[in-house]
Amino acid sequence: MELLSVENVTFRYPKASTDALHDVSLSVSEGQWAVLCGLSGCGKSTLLRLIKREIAPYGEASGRIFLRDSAVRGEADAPMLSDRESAECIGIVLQDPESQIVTDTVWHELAFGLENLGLPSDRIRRRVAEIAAFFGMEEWYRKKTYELSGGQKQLLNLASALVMNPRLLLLDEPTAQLDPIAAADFRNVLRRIRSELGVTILMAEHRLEDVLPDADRIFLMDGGRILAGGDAAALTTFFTNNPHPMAQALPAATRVFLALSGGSVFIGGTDSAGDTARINTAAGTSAAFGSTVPLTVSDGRQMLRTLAEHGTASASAGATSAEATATEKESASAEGSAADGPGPKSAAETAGKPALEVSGVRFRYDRLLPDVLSGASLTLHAGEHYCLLGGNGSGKTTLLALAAGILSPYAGSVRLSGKKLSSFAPGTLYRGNLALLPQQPRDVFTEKSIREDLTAAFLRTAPDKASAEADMLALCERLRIAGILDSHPYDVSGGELQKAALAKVLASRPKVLLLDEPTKGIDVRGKDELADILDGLLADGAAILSVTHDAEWAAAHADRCGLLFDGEVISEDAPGGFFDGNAFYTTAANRMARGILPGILTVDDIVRALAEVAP
Amino acid sequence: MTIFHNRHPLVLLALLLCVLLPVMFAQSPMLTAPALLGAVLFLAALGIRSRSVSLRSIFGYALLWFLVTAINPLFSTGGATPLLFISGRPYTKEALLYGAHLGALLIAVLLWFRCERTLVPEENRFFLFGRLAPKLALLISTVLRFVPLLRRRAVQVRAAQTAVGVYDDPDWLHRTKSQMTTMSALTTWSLEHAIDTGAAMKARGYGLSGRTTYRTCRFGTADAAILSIILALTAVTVLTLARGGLHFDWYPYITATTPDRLAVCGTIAYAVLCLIPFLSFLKEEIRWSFYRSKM
Amino acid sequence: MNRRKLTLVLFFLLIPLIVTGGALLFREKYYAWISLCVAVLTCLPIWYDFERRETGSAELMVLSVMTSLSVAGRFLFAWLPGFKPVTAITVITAMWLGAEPGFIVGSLSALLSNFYFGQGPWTPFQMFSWGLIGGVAGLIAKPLRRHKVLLCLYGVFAGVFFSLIMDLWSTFWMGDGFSIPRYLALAAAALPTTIEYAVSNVIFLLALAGPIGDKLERIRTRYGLFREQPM
Repeated sequence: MELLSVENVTFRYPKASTDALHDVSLSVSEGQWAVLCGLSGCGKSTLLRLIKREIAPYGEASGRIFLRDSAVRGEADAPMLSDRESAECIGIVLQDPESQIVTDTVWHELAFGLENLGLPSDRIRRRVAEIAAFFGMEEWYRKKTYELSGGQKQLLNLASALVMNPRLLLLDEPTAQLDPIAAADFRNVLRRIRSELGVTILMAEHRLEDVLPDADRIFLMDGGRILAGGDAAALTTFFTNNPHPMAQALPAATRVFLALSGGSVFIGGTDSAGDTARINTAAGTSAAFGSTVPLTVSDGRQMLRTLAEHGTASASAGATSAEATATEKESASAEGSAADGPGPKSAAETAGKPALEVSGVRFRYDRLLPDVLSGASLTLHAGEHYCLLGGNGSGKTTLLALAAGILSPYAGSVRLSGKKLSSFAPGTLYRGNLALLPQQPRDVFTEKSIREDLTAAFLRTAPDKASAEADMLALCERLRIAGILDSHPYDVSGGELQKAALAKVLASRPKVLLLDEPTKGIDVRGKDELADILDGLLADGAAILSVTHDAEWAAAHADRCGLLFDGEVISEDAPGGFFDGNAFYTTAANRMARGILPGILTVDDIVRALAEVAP
Repeated sequence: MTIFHNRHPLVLLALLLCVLLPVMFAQSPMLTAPALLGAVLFLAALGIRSRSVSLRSIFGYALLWFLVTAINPLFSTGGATPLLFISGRPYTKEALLYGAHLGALLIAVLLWFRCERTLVPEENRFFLFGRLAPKLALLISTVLRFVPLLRRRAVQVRAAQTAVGVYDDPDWLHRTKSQMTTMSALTTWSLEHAIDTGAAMKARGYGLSGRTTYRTCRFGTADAAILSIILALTAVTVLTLARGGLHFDWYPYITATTPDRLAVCGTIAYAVLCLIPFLSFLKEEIRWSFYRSKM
Repeated sequence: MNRRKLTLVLFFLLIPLIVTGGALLFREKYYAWISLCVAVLTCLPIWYDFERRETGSAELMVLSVMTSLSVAGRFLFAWLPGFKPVTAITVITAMWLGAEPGFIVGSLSALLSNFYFGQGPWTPFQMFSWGLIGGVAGLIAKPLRRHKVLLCLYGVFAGVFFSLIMDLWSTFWMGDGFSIPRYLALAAAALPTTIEYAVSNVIFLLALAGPIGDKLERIRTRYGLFREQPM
């Protein structure tokens, strides 16, 4: 039985020249978990907001949307869904955990929607108690909302939507702003909601790794249209015949499968050639693992094992050739594959004083609080990209603030090209030396348009206005943001805003660039673009230190990786050695190939290795 | 530690008003003394219990009292008994004593506001507001969420602005200017945030007719009992005041009406009222030590 | 129109009634009591009107944000004593969103910031003063937006007005009755604070009226908020 049906919906924002949604039709059955996937700006959020009438965007809309038999929008013979029903039956959770919270206490937040529906106090009490018990939030039921962690805030938003007893739950990239552990917790709760309460879920997501195993139906959107719809297998088949950037967002196992089953994938998006490598495998390969599409790491291991047995005489032969292929690449990951060789960039090692040297820094936010950092050290050389990984609350952002001179350590030192940060004269540190891109790119903007902000930033270092303008335009061309210069910083997409913020921090021509979670909320295409830009900067001799949760990104783009744990940087190595040495904190491809193919960091590595193995 | 944690906020509001209004406007030491005593006993008991008596705040109150006492005769020349003359103006005994009383009264009022903080759990503070003015109460609730959020955001925005060189110059003029930039960036962020929160409110049915207010507190029989006691005691005090029983003249000579039986009753009634927080603290202490000894 | 009627009723009927009634009941000794009632009663009709009218969720949140900004601003500038952006934010809100939002933001800022900075018998007077400063700014919003000089003058006026009201309360509170010399003495003693208020108001208004005004203007036009306020 269909719960939601969208029929021929077309939508255009005011003053826009193209449709944001074009003739979109889809349906979701009762109890299903459906996923809308696509790059940012493909129209998935717009569609969700049109379904949730209260927050529908302004613009011209046509087409019809039904919830069971009532029309959500569009002229129809069917009865219209009343405002009260819409509030009750359709719940929505958006991306930003912070901005959806209305009141100051958890209990009041849960009661807020029920107050709006006009329920009497005793019924509100009962519903709130039930939902708090379901979510296991008794411990923080009495807390203030601002005391909660980001993950708890998003769970609270989910609980506040669910307390209304909705039949349809809309989720707009709900885990984009969460760290991996909190995101996994959130998905676990979603699974319970689906299986224990039977609530239908429609979720917009650009990262498919984690949601594909749970999804009953996936719709691929692009440019406001639905390109494909069906289960994971159908989607994979679609990608086999139609190359699409979203294929890169698939789980690692699925990407390997896709590459092997005669389709095409984009691999090595940052490789020198930059084009797509098409790998054709022997016809027998896909027969080896049948038609079930692998979605998880364990599925993937199964597939690799079968493949290794079926396709070659021995796995070791494959391994050797895989190693051979890998060493051909200049990438640092190759060195890592040689079991225990810690191989940081040799060129950088020899080049004089390190660009940035953090040695034995200790920091605490208050005398009475425990140390956040207790003797953390790292060095960063010119032309090197260092990725610092670490769990939530491990002090990554604090370390970055210390490295940027925003906070100062109570012991230890931070040196820039051998000079202590504290000995820089006022007004010199952030000119031509050091820059930080904060986690929230919005924080660097103060003006009405991006152009005004950037011009002001460039004027600080340029001799006159004309050259400032010219420099700015040149950089914007390079970052491909020249088209959005006259927009308000809040009117552009997350990826564009990040690039604009990057332009602002690059205005001072820093030698050392610090990045805080640069891939948070950025889609696959945006990540590749960012990597390209960073590669350009590295080639110009800049040194980059990024702090990230994103193991896949670090594996693909870092020269060196470090893990921050218990206030110190431990296990510093090139990505190859670093991730191969970790059992849990590593990439999905590495976990998948562990013990089957050696020296694997990314899906591309697996595909290359297998291509060698295949007869 | 909140003794009155389970009491209905109406009871607490009544207690606070019934203590504060008479003492603030009667200007009689017969009321000021018990008000001060009640607040001091309660706060001291709490301080000793939690082992956190702040010497600095005691010193601060003493200084305040001393200042008000010493300064009042400079403004007021009403008394008839000059102690000394400052540039031809009399510095009188009556004005000095009036100042001493005024200082004590001021401290009593301030201390009662402090008691309110410990007596009323924060979440109940706006409960009565919620019943009378639900929209304002909702507005207040959102502000109480926003303020800590904005303070945290201000730190982040400042860090971001620092790293793009906004806070480069150390002098105060530049610092103020940079702070204004932070404030401006904070405004942009929070206004957009407000729009998003507004959408989230609408998504959860804000604006539908017939909104109710979730009541977490119930007015029970115990509340009714305590409220009647408070009102009865206050009635006695007000009656005494109305009859002029506690009348006290400061100028030109300090004269008090000789306390009759009613005045004594009024003072006692008021004193009992002021001691309610302290007495309930004692009751709780005794109850718990008894309870613990049985375990 | 309704609000204006209520305001008229308030100023020309209710307040004199309470003043004379209070004076008769409590004699001169109870000036403090009367002033307290006046301060509270000024806020009531405007709050009542706000309570009764429908406000969209986004508009409510904008008011909430402006109030929070002025409260949080007190923390942001806490290193400069007496340097508070409350008046400026209230006036700016009133200039772009109207008289009633100005009053609400002003009076609530006083009430709520005192939860962090210390509640006392002065709270109603701060609510009254800041509310009124916002309300009046809303009534003369157009010229204030147009002329910088006028805006500065209003900042000075607001600082002096705020300070004088507080002195008035102190006089009532201290004294046995009201005496003009004592009031003048107190006002003179508070002169440095008054000057600081006035100067900081002007600085804040000059620095923030432009940027914050632009932002309020942007959300007004982009999201169609506060449409009923005359521009």
